[in-house]
Amino acid sequence: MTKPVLIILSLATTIVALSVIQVIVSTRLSTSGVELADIQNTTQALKNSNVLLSEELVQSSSLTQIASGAATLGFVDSKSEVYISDSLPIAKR
Amino acid sequence: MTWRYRCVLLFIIFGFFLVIARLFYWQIVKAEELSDLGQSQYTHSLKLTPQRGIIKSSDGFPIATNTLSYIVYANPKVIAKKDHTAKLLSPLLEIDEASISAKLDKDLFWVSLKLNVDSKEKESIEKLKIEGIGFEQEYVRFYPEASLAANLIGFVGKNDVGENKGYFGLEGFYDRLLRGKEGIALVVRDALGRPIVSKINNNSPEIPGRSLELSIDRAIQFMVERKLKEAVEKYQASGGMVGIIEPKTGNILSLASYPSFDNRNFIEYDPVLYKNPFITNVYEPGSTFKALVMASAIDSKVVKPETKCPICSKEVEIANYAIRTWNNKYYENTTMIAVIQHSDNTGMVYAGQKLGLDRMLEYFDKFGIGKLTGIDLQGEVLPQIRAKEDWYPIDLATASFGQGINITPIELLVGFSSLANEGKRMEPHIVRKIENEDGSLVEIKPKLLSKPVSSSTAKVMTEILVNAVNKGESKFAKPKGYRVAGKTGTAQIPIDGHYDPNKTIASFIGFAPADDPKFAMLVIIDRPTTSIYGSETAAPLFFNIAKDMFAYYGILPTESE
Repeated sequence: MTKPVLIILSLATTIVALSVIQVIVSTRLSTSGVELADIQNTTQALKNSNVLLSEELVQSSSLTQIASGAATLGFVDSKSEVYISDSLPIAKR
Repeated sequence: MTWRYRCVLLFIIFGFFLVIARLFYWQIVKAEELSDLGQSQYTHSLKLTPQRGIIKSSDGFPIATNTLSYIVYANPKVIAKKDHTAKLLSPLLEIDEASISAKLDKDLFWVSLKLNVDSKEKESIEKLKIEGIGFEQEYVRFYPEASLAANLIGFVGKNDVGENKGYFGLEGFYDRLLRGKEGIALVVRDALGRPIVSKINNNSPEIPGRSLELSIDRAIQFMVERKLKEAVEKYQASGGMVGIIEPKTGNILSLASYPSFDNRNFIEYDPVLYKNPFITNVYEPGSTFKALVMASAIDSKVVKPETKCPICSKEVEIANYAIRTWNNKYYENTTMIAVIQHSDNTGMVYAGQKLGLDRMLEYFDKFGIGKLTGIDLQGEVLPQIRAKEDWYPIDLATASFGQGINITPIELLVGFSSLANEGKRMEPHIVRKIENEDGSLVEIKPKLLSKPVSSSTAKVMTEILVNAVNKGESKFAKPKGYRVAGKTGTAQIPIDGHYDPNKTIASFIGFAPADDPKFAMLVIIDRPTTSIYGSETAAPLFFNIAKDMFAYYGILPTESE
């Protein structure tokens, strides 16, 4: 084969190869879009689950809930306080 | 031949010119519009609504946060059995069948069926697998402590374009910080409408709202609201309010009012309840105001605590008006200490007259009377003090014992708390820290507003107020062993130009422990009916709350009784 024919052939091969690669990449990208959407959906579902669990957690630890639970269990406010303090130093007695 | 050649050449040049002109039009003049049009064919613009900032109490507990909510919508064009669908949805959405049917009969692609549907309701609707029914997710406010501090927090409603907006309280005052900034993302789709790459162009990302950390103590707020409700019911009053401040910093520890509303279902309540009465209600403070006038008189050295009142043996006549004491008891040569102890109006008239109008107005200004306190809540009202030339001798006399002068409860509490802070008046604040987007915290430092009286006057006044608590009308309610400085108040309410003797605003203001105050508190009971007096209604509530606060802060009694 002469040199010019070789050059033309290699150029044509390169063009064809690049075109094929482009088609493959586009196809893969297009397919990964679906995967990406799935990942996004999973992320969103996890985020939603996190929000709902946080909601449950703060609701359970709210004073309103605790007070109502305590009342159901029969707890009542203390009517008389007892103070435990250090005994006075001898000099002050 | 030449003319033909030239003609063709001219034609070609003209053709080129037309192409260049058209390209110029597309590339330069219409470039942006065409680019947007092109982008819109393969992308979908998505509005990114930022999550609203969280409001936390002083212990970091979220008292206003966000949760998921859904809008249930239908596409009537794809729903085949409309009556059957309406029948299925009716019990789940709690809407009658006819209303759902009417919506499904519309010739539209999108109709909203119900707003604010929670996750559990959504799940049960999803289980029905009805074609043409969908959900739009959004974040809504969630209050884990239900209606705790509702007046203080405010609520989130919609503005004229349907966007979330904070109204009243902290939601209103800090709305711009809390709501953040909306962003826009472009999603690229393939020919079938499936997303290829998300957020390819995220030039305007959403900025989440900033969170607020309050000085409000959740435990104190909870306890105060519960006790206030019990007191209002016990004294058969129209309402009541309590404000507690840390005198040294101006941090508000609790601000409660009753009746109140539920922030989530605010629409079901009377709009009058949305306002925070502690900053919006204007009233005549009555005897609680005597502490400020007496402190002014002592500070300006026109009287001393031991000064004897020469006009207190009987009613005081001023311009055809007779000034009486609240119980018609008169004490000859009573001292200023006893004037506060007996809440003696005639003694206060004497102190007021000795002070004089000029000095009285000067001290009012320093105590912040007739000025906005600058509290970080939406809607603080500024009651006007009448101009100096409009004051008559009778006005000076009545103002001395807190009648004929209008103030807001927050004005009084902030002014009074200066007596518990060596005479220094601090700016009241609800928000202690603001959390930035990067998680860093900006601390709001205490701000000194004025120094109405000297520290020695504040000390003297504290002793006078401790004496008033120990020997005054409300001594029965005081917790044993604690030094509390305070003053009762029973203000008559002006109705049609006269004072109604049976309708009063009963109040008590004080601070404790007197030697190293941890809190100053104002309790107001509006129109109590079991007793009209502050000493029998507001004072017991004050001491009831104070007792719990001593236990909460671990403050031990200092006196044996």
